Amino acid sequence: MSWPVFPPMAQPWCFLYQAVSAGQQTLCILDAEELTSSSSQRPFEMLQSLIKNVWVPMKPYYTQVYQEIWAGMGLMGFIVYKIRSADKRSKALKASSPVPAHGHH
Amino acid sequence: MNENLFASFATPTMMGLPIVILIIMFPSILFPSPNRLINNRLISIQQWLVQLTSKQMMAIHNSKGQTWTLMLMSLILFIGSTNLLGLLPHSFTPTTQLSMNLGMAIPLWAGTVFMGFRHKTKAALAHFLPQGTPIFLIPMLVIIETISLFIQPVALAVRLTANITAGHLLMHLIGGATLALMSISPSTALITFIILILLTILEFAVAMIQAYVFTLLVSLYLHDNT
Repeated sequence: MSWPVFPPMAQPWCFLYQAVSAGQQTLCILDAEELTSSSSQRPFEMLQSLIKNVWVPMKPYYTQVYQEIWAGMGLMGFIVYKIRSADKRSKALKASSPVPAHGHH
Repeated sequence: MNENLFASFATPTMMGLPIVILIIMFPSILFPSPNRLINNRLISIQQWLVQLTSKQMMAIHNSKGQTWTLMLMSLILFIGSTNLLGLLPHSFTPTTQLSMNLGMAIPLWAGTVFMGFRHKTKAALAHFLPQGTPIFLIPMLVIIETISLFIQPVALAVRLTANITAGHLLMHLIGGATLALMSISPSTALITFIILILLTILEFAVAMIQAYVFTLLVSLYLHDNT
């Protein structure tokens, strides 16, 4: 199955050719414009490449094998959120609490 | 001197931008992907090493456990290469950060536990009570086993952090001592330099052993739950 490709921008493809007529040699060189994709298509091409090279081979792992690991990452994200919010809360409390009356010993 | 000692463990920034993500991603470019049936020498050696490690590590697992081969091989390669790269002078080692190691340990450990509870619930619950326990000890032992289960990811992370950090700190200290002693007593400086060389050799071994231990323990937790 051929991989669906976004059609490149249509560029005229001109090539070098020789025309030989009776009694006369004519050489005509036309501009050869390279077939390039425009800059607007490159992000799509990068996404295509990512999907083709990463997602397609790894899909059974990401969707079936690593289900429990995704759940573990959710647990880790929850723990990180709890730690950060506790840190923020304690810093806010320290900033808002008054300076103790007695000085350092 | 104290400030210099811990400066190498600070998260690196370049002109105010954190580059720790780049440093974490860097070891991946040192492992070229095989793109032919028969590759060049470097890739062949890499393939041979990965095959040797994966065969030795995954032999104990059933088919369910062997689906984690890719994950465990990536893990050992990542931790091993990160630890070894950290032995270069003035480099930053991501595995000295507890946050990074907890970020690796918690999802993997939780993954194995969830897998055990999902596919073999009775066997997973049975782990909380060893066989042959006297009846009057059951409540206490269930509490102890629960605590030992929840301590597993913390132990995994702290073990790696402490080993790598301690080794780097020791090298800093002994290197600083060697430098300081050179003007005072060159013979003592020579002894400390020999100690530094021996310590560096030990650190190379510790870097690889810690990667192996981390991965082996995750593999064992997986084996218990599959």
